[in-house]
Amino acid sequence: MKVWIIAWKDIKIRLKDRKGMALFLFLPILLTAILGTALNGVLTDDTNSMPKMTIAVYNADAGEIGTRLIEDVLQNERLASNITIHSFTSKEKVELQVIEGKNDVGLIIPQDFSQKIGAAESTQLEVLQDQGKPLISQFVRSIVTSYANRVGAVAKASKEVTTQLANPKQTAAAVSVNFESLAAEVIGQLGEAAGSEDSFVVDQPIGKKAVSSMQYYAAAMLAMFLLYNATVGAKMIINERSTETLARLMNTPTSKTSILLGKYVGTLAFSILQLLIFMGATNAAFGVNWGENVLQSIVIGLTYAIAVSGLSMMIAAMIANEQAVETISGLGVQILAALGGSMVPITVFPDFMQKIAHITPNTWALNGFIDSMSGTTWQALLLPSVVLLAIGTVTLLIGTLRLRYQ
Amino acid sequence: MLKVDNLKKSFGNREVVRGVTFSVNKGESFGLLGPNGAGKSTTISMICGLIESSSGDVTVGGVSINKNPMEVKRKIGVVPQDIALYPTISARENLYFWGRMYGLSRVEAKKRTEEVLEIVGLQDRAKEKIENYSGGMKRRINIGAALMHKPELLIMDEPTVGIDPQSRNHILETVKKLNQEGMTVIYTSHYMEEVEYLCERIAIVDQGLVIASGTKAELCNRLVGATSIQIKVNVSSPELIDTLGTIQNVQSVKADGELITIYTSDARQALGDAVALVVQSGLQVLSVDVQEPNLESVFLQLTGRTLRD
Repeated sequence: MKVWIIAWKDIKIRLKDRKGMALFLFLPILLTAILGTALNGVLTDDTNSMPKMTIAVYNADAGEIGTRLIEDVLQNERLASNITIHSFTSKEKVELQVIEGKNDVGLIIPQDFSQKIGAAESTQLEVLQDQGKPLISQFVRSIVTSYANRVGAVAKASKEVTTQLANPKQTAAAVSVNFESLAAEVIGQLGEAAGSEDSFVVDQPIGKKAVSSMQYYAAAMLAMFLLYNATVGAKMIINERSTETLARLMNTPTSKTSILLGKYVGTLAFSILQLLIFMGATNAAFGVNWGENVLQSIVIGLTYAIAVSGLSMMIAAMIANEQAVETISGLGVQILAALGGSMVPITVFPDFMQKIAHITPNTWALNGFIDSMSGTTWQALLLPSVVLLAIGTVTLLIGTLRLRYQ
Repeated sequence: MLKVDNLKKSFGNREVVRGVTFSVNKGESFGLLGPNGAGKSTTISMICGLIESSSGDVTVGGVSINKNPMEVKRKIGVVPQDIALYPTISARENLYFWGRMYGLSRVEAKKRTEEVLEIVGLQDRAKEKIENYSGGMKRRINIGAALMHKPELLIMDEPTVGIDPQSRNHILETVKKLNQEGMTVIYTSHYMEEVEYLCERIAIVDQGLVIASGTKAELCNRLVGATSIQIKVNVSSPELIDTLGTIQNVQSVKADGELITIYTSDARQALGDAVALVVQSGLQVLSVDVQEPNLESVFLQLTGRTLRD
């Protein structure tokens, strides 16, 4: 019970410290916003860096390939939030929309587009561009060109194959095949494949999805600012010693172990509070998705909180001077944060640096958060969780034992 | 109430407390007087169970600190020499916290907090953070924190260091009142006048030992010829000095120009005789001053040093 009384007192002291609250709650949220926005698109998911655009479309094609271009390519799951399609019934209307600036780009799909592609004949998509918006035009042009080229290439290859197979000089086994329907089927399937979302995936993330820069820096800032609790917790113990309140606590009928555990639980509880507030705030303010199963991020956060709270006890046991802890707080945390990938993604570091980084708890925490966000399994989170718990337990034991006999 | 039996404490090779023995009765106000570094605070720390003694024992209400330290701690309230409060939370929150640490329930602690705020006279400033308090106000809350659990024994270690006279008076009055209400008090100080004012019995501590103890009168009676009478006359007279030396119970007479100092064990009789002799000799008495013996002079005689050395 007294453990909680001491812990609650410490939490209250920290909550009343406006400067500390700004540092621990407001600053990481602000930095997440700045870094997440400034470095948007640098990481694997570039949909957030893509400008919003409207496309006026006239689809004169009666076939499937033109429809697929609109529905499966331009309106697929990843692009739909950035591209708005407005359909029109004539080329002139589309031109007018672009000229009047009502739509950013115009796209004309010719009448026999599917048929000509299927026959591997020449056909042309028209992209009408607003001169003032070259980047958007370029973007749309590259998407539709890429699609048309791939479908066209597949069609040509299919036609060639079926032509060869239809030749009576070829193998007898092929005689019974309906080559026209086979060709149509192949073109259809490959066209679908060409237009599928998977075609645009460049990197293979650890989980099912890549994380956005906002997600990355939310995790990075959380890993960095939770780490500060190790030094703040240590400072609170040292401060308690230097202001004689520790001696006064020892005069009360309270065991040393309860006092030390109270200090530990105070740091742990504040870290958890900070974790939950930060996750909630970044989700509400910037839509940061902490993973499809947010419990995974919370579990990583909790084990990390245990690790930093344990570290606080060890630091307090090793360092008697508040000034020295200040230095560690200022410089040490920055170094660990940089090494652990909180400033720039750890993947840009050389291999040996990435290996060294694993001695820091924040590296394990950050990797755990990123994995959770990208939809990893519980099994994959076992290692970072166990490592963080081990760091927390060992440092708590060392710190408590040393402090008990000081 | 309290028995301190041959308490010793060494730090390395240095023996700081060298066998302190004294006892305090229930409801008594007991003073530990001694200069800085005499071993008072170390003795107090051992009584409170804050540091372990090298040898000896302390019992509070019959409970040994060595055998049951938690039980002893419940009976004691300690006012440390330094301000041991949390500066960034309010006085009310501080008192509540210390009450809870002494085992009071939430309801008890809240109720007692208001009572203690009244005792120390700071109800109207209770919401303010300690860091905004004056030194004297901090000292008052520092005492209040030790009163939260209504201790049987209140131990105060130099509680008035570095504060203004008004706060000092308030603290002294508060302690006096608590003692009159039945609380046993141990008061340590190197301010002789505070100990004299508050304490019925006094132990004088020096170099880790109790060198004398008793009531103030008992201690002062140990001094022979400790009362001094200073008479200022208009003209110096060596013959008069010799005559004054013949008065009964006068131990010695010294002259410094026109100022004559007479040391005696019976000031009342010696004063009348001395003034009469001065007048008979044809000299004029310009002023008379009688100085009773005090703890300072007792300490001076016992150690050859003053309390503030």
